[in-house]
Amino acid sequence: MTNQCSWGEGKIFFWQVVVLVTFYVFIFGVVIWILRLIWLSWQLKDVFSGSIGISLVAIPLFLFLLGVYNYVFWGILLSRKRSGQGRKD
Amino acid sequence: MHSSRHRLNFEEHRILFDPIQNPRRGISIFMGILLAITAWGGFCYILQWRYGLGASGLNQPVLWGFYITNFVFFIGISHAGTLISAILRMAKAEWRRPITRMAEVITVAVLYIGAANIIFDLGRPERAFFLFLYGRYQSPLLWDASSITAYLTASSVFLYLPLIPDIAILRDRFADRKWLHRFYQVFSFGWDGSPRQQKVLNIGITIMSVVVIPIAVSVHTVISYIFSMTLQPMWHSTIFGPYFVCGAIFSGIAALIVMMVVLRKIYHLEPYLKPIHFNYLGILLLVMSLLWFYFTFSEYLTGFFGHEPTEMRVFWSKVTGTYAPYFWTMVFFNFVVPVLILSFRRMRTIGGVLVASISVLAGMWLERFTIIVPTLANPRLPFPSGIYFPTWIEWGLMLGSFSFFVFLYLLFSRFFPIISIWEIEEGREVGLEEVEERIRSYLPETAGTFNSREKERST
Repeated sequence: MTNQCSWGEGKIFFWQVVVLVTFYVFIFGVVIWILRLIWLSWQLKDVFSGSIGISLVAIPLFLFLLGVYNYVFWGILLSRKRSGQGRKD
Repeated sequence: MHSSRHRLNFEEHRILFDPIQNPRRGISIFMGILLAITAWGGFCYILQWRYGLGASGLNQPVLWGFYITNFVFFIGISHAGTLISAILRMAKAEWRRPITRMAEVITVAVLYIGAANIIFDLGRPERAFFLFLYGRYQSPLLWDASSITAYLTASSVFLYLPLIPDIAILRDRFADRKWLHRFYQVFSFGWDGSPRQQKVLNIGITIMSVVVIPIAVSVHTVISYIFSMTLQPMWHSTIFGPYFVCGAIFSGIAALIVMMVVLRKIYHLEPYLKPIHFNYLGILLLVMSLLWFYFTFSEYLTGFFGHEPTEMRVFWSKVTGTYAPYFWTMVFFNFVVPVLILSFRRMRTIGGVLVASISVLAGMWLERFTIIVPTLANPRLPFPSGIYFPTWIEWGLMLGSFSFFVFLYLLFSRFFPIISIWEIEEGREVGLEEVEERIRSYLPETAGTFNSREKERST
């Protein structure tokens, strides 16, 4: 499916990685935010245990979502390269 | 999903490509009108920002009005998608195939608007940033922020994964459209439909279907905690979590039905969205209506039986007082209308189901309103009772919110097929055999099969 409108393999891969990195930044942004709130509650002695309790659910959940996205992203991309059909695009 | 099959799909599913390939002028004009109404809502917000919350009808003691009602309502509708889609996928309900995408788009579009309504309710929105710096995790408001963020992330991934094969179809279909083709090239992840890719995708979708259900349930439970964790009369209730989840699924199904009917009409999706789909969704709506009534009855009867003075002030204001018209209209819309229409097979037509759904949407909005405002107007602490009248600014923002939701939905349908093409194909190729096999496994074997198997064993 090569034509003038198509981008080359490298350029497509670059933008795909940009999307993936954006997702990484978002997820780790949320994780850092939660960690900051825990740190704050520790500093202010402000129900630290409660903050820890909620973050025990929230942080792994966000990381898990990132994991699923990663699995599908690399799973599809790598299996395409392995099957050698990537060049057809 | 190889290239040869893509060619087959192009003609067979021409109706689904039409909104992308040949967008109708009427729909473009309608989208323009929706955008204009949204801009009007934006103008109302700018005025509110400039003059403060005094421009709205919010005042002591009723500090939550239309905005929080809309917030709870929109987040409730978001259950249409992810939850219904995930449950139907997990249950392997084959009739889900043409409706899952429509449901999932509702979720993602509506969550942004629900979250925006929280911002509308802030007197000093520029200070929302402090939430990130100094938020306190023991506040249910912050639980809400976390759970909605998690739900939005999960729903976006859940919408995106089943889109990948369809984006690949579009990539091949629109090879002559420069930017559109490149956009699809990037987001299709080089999908070629090989068995390995299909396996990876199916695992991803299955995992997300499982994960998204508890997240969706937790989101509306946490929203109910905003109310039930306080000691306000008729809010401090242990059944608020399941009551809110039930209401959310109820309004979600109604929203899904309305969107299905509208899109079926404007995009001519009759071959995909058949009366059987509306019949099944109508039955689901009926079940949720009965469940909603059960929860409402339990909630009000328990409050009434306790006869606590502060509770009773709110109770009577709803049942016979200022808010009685809203309360009884809510009961009529949420229970009487849907039960009357949907209980009879003959009335469960597309038109009948649509009327019941519109009734439920109006009723559920009123339900959110009658939960929030009467309690604030009759507070537990010795404040004078208040009264709430929304101003034109609140009406403008509400109208803008609804318009923006429909606009986002139509915008999505301009770039992606609103019905999952590959899942329809999969249903034809694999689903039929799977269903036959499954039904066989439910039933006892016939005498012939049993005897031949016994013979095999003895030899």
